Amino acid sequence: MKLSRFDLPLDETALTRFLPWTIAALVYLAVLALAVAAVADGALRLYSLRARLVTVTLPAVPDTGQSAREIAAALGVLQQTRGVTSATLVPTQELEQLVEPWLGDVETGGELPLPRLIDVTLDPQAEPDLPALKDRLQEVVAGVTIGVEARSRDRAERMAGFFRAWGGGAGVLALLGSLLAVAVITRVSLRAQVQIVELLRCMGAPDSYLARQFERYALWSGLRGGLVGFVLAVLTILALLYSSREMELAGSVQLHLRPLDWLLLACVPVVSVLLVTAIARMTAVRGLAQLS
Amino acid sequence: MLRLDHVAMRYGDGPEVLHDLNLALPRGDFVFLMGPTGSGKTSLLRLLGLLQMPSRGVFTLFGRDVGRLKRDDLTALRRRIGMVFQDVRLLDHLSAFDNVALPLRINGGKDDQIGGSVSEMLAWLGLSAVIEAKPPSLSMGQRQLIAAARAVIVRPNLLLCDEPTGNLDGKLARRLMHLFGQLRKLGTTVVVATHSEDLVERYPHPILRLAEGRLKRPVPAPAAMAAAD
Repeated sequence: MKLSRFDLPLDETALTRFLPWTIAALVYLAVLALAVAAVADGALRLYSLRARLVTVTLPAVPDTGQSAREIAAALGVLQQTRGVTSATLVPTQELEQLVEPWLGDVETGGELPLPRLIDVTLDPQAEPDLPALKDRLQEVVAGVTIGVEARSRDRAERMAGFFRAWGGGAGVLALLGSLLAVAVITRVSLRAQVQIVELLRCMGAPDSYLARQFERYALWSGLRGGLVGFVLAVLTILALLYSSREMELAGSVQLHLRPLDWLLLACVPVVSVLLVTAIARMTAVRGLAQLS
Repeated sequence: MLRLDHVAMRYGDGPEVLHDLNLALPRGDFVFLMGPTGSGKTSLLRLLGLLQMPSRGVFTLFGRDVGRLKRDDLTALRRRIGMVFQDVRLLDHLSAFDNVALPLRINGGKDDQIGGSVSEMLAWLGLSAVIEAKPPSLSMGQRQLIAAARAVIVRPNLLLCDEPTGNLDGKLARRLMHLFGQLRKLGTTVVVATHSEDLVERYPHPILRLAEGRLKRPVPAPAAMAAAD
């Protein structure tokens, strides 16, 4: 005849029966939140790989000859700078379009001096030293400025940063929540079964034997809850990734999870089960010591 | 094997419920414990079963001073004691089989050995038909037999019974007392607390009388009543 799994009625009380579902819900939330963080992290990596843009502004000079010399000197400095992948003078027509909202539809014809702009593309891997670049440019053109604020950190990138932080935090919180739930449920069910604990002690059951009952129940609940939560979370993630592609929510950056991300997400229920089991045992051992 | 020297006991910070107990029970002894309700019978059984510690005096069990034992040692000694509670205390979520198997599991027995011993014990007590039944579906008498089976399944060195035959008819009570007698022959010391004058008259064992937490001198049972085990 097959022996019962647990001496204590751990799978027969309303509170403990609730445990696998609690773990399932929290693992679901943790996996989902960490997936958001992983997707956001992937997007940030793509953004960081995109070249950064800065604008070099040369002050306006009335002399066209001097202007041409300064432009040539500035372009020369830029092209010799490590990390600068391209430097292109913004055409005069484009400049006139830029000032049109303020000056109206005018052709300056060289009479109204405008500052000269050079669009510079930087290689993000090279991490160019912009203050040093500015110093070198000022040696050849007095009053030159670099529009560092023009670095391409657009709204989507800031959103990705926010979601990475939020997702990571929420994932960790959900995992901590599952540990807290296990600790509370273990403690309450231990108190509810004081008489049975005393009976088993009377038969010679050491506290390690009793704590193992709670540990095994937490392991069993964690495995069931973790698996259910993980499978549901994976289905939700796949649905969300598919929807994002359909709706082109991501703009220029494609949302996806790398194989490594999937592997790390698969570790969430495993880590959760191990932690839940350890917490149940620790809580039971402490509770039993207090019951003595 | 069991010795009390001027032992007293109290629950927590409450007043003493047992006073100046002196008693020596050798291996294989069988005594009845009698006394009116509230005299301290259950408290004495809890003391002997190591569920309570003496507040004064020296309690020696299996050659060890109980008051000086560490927690792990107490746990090990408890495995050599079988207890039958007045209120039965079966685990309602477990089958009759699992209830009886509990002490064997705690002692680390293997599943196949446990299965054989428990089935044999329940068959001997006439409970084969209810082996998978859970306590709430059983009669009080059946539950009491299962509780007794749970206490004796490990062949304890000390068997403590609190009104073990209170809910049994004459035939089942005799069967249970016969079982206790057999254990005694194997060297188990048996203490049976009872209110039943019929029981103590039928079996020729000494009687310990307890009144207001004090133990009177043991009175040997009349030899003429040796209807026996």
